[in-house]
Amino acid sequence: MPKKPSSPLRSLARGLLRASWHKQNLYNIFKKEAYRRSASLYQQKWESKRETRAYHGEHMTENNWLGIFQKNLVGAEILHDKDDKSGEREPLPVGLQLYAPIERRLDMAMFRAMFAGSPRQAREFISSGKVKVNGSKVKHGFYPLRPGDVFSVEPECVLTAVGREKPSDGLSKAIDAKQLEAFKKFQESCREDPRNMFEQKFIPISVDGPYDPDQLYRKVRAMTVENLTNQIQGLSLDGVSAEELSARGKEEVEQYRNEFQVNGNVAADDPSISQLATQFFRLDNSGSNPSPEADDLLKKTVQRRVDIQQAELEELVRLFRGAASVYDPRWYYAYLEEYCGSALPWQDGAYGLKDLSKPYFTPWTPRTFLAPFAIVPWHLEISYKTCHAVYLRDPITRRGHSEVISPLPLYMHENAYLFYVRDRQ
Amino acid sequence: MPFSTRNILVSTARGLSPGQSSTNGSYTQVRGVRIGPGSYLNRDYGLVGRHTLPRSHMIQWFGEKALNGDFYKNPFCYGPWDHIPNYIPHTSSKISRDDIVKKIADSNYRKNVNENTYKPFPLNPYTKTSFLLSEELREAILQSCKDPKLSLWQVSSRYGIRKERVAATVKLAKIENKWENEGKITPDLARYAHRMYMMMPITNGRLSQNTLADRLGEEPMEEIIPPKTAQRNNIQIMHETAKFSPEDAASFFHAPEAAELMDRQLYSDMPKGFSFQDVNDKDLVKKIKQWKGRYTDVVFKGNNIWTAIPAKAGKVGYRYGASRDHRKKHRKHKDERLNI
Repeated sequence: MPKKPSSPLRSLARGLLRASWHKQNLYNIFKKEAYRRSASLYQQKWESKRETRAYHGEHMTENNWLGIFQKNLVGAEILHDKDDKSGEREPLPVGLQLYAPIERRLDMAMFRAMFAGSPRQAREFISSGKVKVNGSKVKHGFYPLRPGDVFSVEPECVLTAVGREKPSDGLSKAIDAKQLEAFKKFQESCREDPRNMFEQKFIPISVDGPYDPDQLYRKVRAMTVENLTNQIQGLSLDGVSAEELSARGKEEVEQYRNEFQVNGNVAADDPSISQLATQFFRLDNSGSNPSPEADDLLKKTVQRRVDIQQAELEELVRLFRGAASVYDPRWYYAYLEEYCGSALPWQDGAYGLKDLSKPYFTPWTPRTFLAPFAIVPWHLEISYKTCHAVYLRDPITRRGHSEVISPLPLYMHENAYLFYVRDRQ
Repeated sequence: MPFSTRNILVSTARGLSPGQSSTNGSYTQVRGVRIGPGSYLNRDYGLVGRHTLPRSHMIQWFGEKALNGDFYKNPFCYGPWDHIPNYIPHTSSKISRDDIVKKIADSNYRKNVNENTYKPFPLNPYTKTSFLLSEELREAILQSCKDPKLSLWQVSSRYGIRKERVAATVKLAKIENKWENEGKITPDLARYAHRMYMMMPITNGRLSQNTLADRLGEEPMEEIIPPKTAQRNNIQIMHETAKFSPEDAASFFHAPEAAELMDRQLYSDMPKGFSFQDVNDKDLVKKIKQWKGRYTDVVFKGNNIWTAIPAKAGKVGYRYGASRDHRKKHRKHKDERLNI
């Protein structure tokens, strides 16, 4: 049995930080401030122990924790430090190793792998037989993992934990009704004051400078794929002298390289570009025509560039769907045409209940306020596709870095260590 | 709408100036604003409207609600799609919470990627996120483990990823292949996997060291954790007159006792895979009895020696009544007294 919480887990007055994805817990983490209360040493130690234990193994009793507590904390050092500058070295936060033994537990590892929203939820999955370690079912949350162990959770559990909550029938209906009402209002106001609604809907937030539909239109037109291919094909090399050609070729190559680097899809030392330069633009002045290989290369490179531009175009069109054209008082007809098929134009089925048989929100959508907790642990290797993970090693600490994930500062861990280490020599 | 004091109070309770509409969303905290006829009661309990003061602050921090209940204006509400994490920012303690939220909302904030971007908690700079292997890197690792088959050590040093992680990647890839062949990956599961991949930071390792994530994602390979034998003190200070037997020494060093070691020596002398059946074992039996006790039975069976030591019948536990009942220990003392 886990410890029964003696008081509300996410009390705003206490403001203790928990190992949980709850949005109220996020607020508690956000508002937490580092302070060192002027108090006696014992008070400081007690407070630190209270704060740290609220996060690390909150669901364990104190005796369970003391059973795995280790007196000796060790950190890893670099074996061959070539330039030994001990003065500039970052500190070794050994204190953060205090709660490393808890990370070995199966329920904690499941929480770290983001297969469960908290160790308590992980424990529920485990005790209901949804978790396997190395292919065999394990029913105890305290199961200590060893390096190399593979643990897996049933995907439905993970989708429930990470996904949105499935709404009840009543809630789903209520939300749909609200959305429908809002949509009707939107339609009406479009008819009444199209200019105002157009500006409200399509004010481009991500584009710098004042909103200018004509400019936007020009930009989108300039980016069409046809335009682009014409532009590239227009680089005909007939009737150009060799010297001119090489100079021009160099320029073009430079230009391409810059553009590619900006787009981030091609590394600076991409061999295809330099080959292109030497062969297609005849920088070596050897042949009169480009070789077939060089031709292929050019085609490929152009295709890649076209792909990039295509993606950008789609993104822009997605952002400013109606705004791609200049303002027209009947703009909303085209806009509303997209949504004229079904009773609820923006979704299939009722809100969140597309597939009633599933225990989670369908189609699957991640829960809100997940982003600040999306941390990849160093001691686990995770496969989200199959909901499997491998426990690589016990988390260690090195200079300037601890693999034990904790929102609490180092001095709290050190004080808590002092609290636990007394009388345990 | 006629201007009234009531309106001012309502708008300030929401953290807004009187002229502002509530749709703008603000995180300002207003202390001690009280509304309604029972305000003298609210002062005592720290209430603002229906809620306690801390709770009203929290509601303000969450911001406006959408029709489906999402706090869609809160910067942490939705996850990122570009592998750049959206953690609580590292700021100096003097900045107010409002300013932090404004800072995140600024479009330039997410473009400025630095080391602090990958530290999830502002109070603990030692906690850093690891990185998922990018699809390119993962494929490169799997390829180099297959053809030509390189050793784990070679692969790990080529891509800057630890050996055990390379092995785990191969292991998980096998499972993924199996699941794909069996058709176990449902559309929802694929959607989840893709979403998680887009939300998490990824690294290319040594494949291309262009971004900061590539440099940070490279794991330190030349690192050593002191072994357990080196972690404890091997010197014990004690008084001259204190007794210190070989057994004490054994327990101090967590080593087997000398007698046990000699035992092991005895058996280790024998050749392995040796059958005792055709041998005159008398000397051997004599030797074993020396160590194990006079009344030991020695049995030779195949390649093994079995020794059976007679149990000390009268001195085993306190089993008077039912086997589970150990509460009658006191009776033993009675018996002892009678014996005397």
